Amino acid sequence: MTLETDLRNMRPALDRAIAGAATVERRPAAPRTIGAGSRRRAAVFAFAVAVCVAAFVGIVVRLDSSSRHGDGVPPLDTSGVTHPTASTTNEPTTTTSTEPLSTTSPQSAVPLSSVDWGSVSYPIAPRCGDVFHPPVTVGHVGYAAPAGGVHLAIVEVACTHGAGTPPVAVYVYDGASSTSTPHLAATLVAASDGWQANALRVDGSAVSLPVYGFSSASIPNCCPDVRTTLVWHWSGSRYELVSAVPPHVTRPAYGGY
Amino acid sequence: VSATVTGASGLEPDRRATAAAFETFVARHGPDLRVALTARFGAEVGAEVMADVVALAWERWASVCAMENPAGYLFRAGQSAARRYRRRPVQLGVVPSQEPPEFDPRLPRILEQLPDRQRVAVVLVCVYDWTAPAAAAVLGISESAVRTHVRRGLAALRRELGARDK
Repeated sequence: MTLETDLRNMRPALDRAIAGAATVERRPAAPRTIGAGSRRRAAVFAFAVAVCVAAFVGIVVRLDSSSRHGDGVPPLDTSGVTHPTASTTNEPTTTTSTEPLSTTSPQSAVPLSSVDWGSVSYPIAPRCGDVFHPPVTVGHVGYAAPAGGVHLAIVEVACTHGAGTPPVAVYVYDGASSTSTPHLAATLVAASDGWQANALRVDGSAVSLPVYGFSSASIPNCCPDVRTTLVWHWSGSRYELVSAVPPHVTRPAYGGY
Repeated sequence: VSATVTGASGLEPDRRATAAAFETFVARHGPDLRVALTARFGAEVGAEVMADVVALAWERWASVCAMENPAGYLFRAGQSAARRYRRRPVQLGVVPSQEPPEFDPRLPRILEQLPDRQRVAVVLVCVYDWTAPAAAAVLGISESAVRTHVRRGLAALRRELGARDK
């Protein structure tokens, strides 16, 4: 046999070697240490350290805040609230209020526009990631007067978490006795519904919220694959959900038990 | 305001199309790239580097899919990615399995000891019957350089086999 023939005949054996190597489990992290000198891995490591530090600082701040409140957690005002049923299945959740709103503001000592929404205690899910009773970030606040004498504030909030995108909650307030104690009238979206969003829009008698979610628990956190826009219309006494809610799952880590 | 529902469930059309295009790309260029990386780094490290470059291709898909020679780019990226693995002798992992053997059983070992470029050129052109232009495109060198490496590689193989025969 010539050398060229030998080389050509070697192909099946080399194919077997390639196929065998491709099916072998990848080697463990020995060459993947920071010392091995990959800038990308170093960046990931630095990011992980930053997240850990941020989480630690968040816990410390939370503990400090809790100690100032004495009993650990400030009481949550859930009067008049109808929470949608939390779901961990593919069944659509109901994100509409069922209690009619009062046509007169029950606690209107302070106009809603003067409420300091950052200091309000929200009835958001008690758990956010691995943090219980998390601090809350206020996203969008919209004001509406869908009927005569009815002044509402629609507030989008999310728990503050070190990393990832936590689900949002949307609450409707119809009055306030002080700048930090508005009266909660309805919950349009609960954190346990598992929707991510950041673009609440209040337009006259309609409220719309583009949301993102997950069709199954196996979908990675980076890439929500369910997208829709939830729309509520003022029916005369309450906001009613008029858009379809596609099947999606909630994340237990964010209170979607 | 009317109810607006955009996309009931499942992947968005854009992401579905991107994923399909990427899968097509991997199916088309993956086997050739795997052969080239195996010839360059050996079977085990070649598989590791192959996984790295596929991940890189996905990460930079927007630019990779627009390249004229994406396989060549990924082969060169693989050479950078291989730096993270420990330096060790190239092992093709070829084991003759038939009796009488299909090829000279000394050949894999001698092939592994060739200089990198000669070994890659010989494997691609002589073992896998790639044309010189195709090998040149992936390796990022000229066609004449490929032919030169093949010629020198074959000469070295003959020399070594002849020397061991004596």
